[in-house]
Amino acid sequence: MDLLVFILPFLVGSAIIVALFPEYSLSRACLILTCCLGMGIGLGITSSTAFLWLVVFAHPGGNYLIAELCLSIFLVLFAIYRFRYAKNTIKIELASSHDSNIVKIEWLKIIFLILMIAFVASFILKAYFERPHGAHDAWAIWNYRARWLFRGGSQWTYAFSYLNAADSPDYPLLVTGSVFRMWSMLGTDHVAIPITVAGLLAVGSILIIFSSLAILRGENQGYLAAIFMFITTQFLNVSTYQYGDAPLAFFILGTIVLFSLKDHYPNLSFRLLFLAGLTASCAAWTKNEGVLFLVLIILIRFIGKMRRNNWFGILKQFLYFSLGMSFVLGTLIYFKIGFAIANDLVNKTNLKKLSDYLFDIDRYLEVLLGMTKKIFTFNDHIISLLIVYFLISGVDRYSFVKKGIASHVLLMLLMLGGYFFSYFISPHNIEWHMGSSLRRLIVQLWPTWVFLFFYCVKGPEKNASIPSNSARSF
Amino acid sequence: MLKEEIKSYLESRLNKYFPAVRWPVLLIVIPALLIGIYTLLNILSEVVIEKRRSNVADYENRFASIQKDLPANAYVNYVTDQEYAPDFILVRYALVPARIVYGLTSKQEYLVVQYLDTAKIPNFEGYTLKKNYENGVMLFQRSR
Repeated sequence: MDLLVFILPFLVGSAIIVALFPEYSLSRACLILTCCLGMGIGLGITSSTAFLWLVVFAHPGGNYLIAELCLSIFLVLFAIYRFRYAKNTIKIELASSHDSNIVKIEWLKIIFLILMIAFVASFILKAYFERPHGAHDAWAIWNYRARWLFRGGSQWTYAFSYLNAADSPDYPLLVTGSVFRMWSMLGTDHVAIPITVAGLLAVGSILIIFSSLAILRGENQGYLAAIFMFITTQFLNVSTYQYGDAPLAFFILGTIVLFSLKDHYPNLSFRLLFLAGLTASCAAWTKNEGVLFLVLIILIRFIGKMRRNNWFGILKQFLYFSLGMSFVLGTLIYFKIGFAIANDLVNKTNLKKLSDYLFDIDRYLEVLLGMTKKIFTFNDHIISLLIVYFLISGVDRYSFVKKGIASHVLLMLLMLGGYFFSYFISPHNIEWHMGSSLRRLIVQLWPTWVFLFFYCVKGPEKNASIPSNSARSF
Repeated sequence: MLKEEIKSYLESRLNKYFPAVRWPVLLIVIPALLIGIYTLLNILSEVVIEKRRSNVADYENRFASIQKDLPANAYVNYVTDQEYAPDFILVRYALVPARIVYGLTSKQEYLVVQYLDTAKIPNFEGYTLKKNYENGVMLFQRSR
């Protein structure tokens, strides 16, 4: 039963991906990407269904389990059907296998495996033994609300009440809802559940970086990027907190990876957009910063491109993206309208202060300098290592690498701009506010920056030559 | 001249051990190995030798008994000799689904008291001691 609560979301998410990509999703690096994204998407969908079940019926117990089991079986059968039959009927553009000039560097794989074991062991020790209930916000917000949903009986709405409001009472429910769903199905609020959710998404982020770069740039580059993630000890730390930041990083990364794949495999464009819609809506369902991410991705990837391209084609792409995000985003909108109270940062009172702050140059400088300092000193100046590596290694100049990268970088910079704005209108002391949260905000974007960095820089191989079609192969 | 010699010597050594890899890769791999293993050992020492534990579990254990005696979803006053933060948030978390009201400004039927640094059993006007859990936690009820 304990395993079943994790297996069902995994099956739901993975079956959707296999049904969408029967020809690719179960081969080599794609299998890892399918499993990781499948777990995340499954958690997003099942946390939404559990919340809606709670609203419409009652606590998700036996009946809910049967309903979810039926959904999983249906999706798995559909995925098997698609895998066995659709594979032979769909005409796919099969590219050549990976460039034979690129030698696999076996010791990179061994180091990756050693560090992955060390990462998992460190996570288990820290999360299960040192802080089984997570850090401050876990017992003040995330798991506290999950407890209210689970233990509150008919009074569960108190979790979102004004009287109960401490910090950020309007936060969306992917993490809280997943934990609540599993506790309800098991009938006990064991600490292992939020720890395992946090652990799966943290390890999933690293594996997504590896698998996506293995597909796009070759396995060596994938291993190197994943190895780099192990240097980021702040990512490990924040994951053990059981907050929404590491899960949000997972979904932001997943969405950017899917858009990068879309840019490289235009024949898979619509299916990838459907999946990207799902991951982007899961990001919005995880934390409010995810809503900003969703808005920006629509602005940059769809509205921003309308001027240059055929607007009907873009509209069609947006339709697929919207289809993907419809269910989880619909749940989020319902939650925000029906249950969530006003945000403590972006609200009428704070926005009114904007006119006072608008000409306050000192405030601009304080936020800008504070953010710059925090970003450059993040994780013991890890950015300097990236800069040195970049200067020595250089950028990969193949056209497929350049394609779409500018929009991703712009998106990430605008996300930072959004964070700047939230500090700018903050009612709190700016120094305190940044000190208590900016490190976590950087973690939200960090895996994506790492992915984009290793997507652009030259591979680890000597005399590596990547023909234009090699990256198109699975 | 010397610079060239050093460079060619280093390149030849690197080529010997890492024939297929560009040397900047080592800038990432070596720190990753050192930091990854150091982090694991550091956490191992904190958890196993220093036995570092978060205090949330202490709150969970301390309030486990009183939780059974509180009516579900009821508003309950809370008084303590500890600092407000993070004590109040931890108590609030441990006692879900009781709705904790800090202080005695609006008096409820039940009053939960946590006195960890005070040995004497306190008196609260309008309340009588219902149960002392002998771990610093006490439950008071309004006098009839």
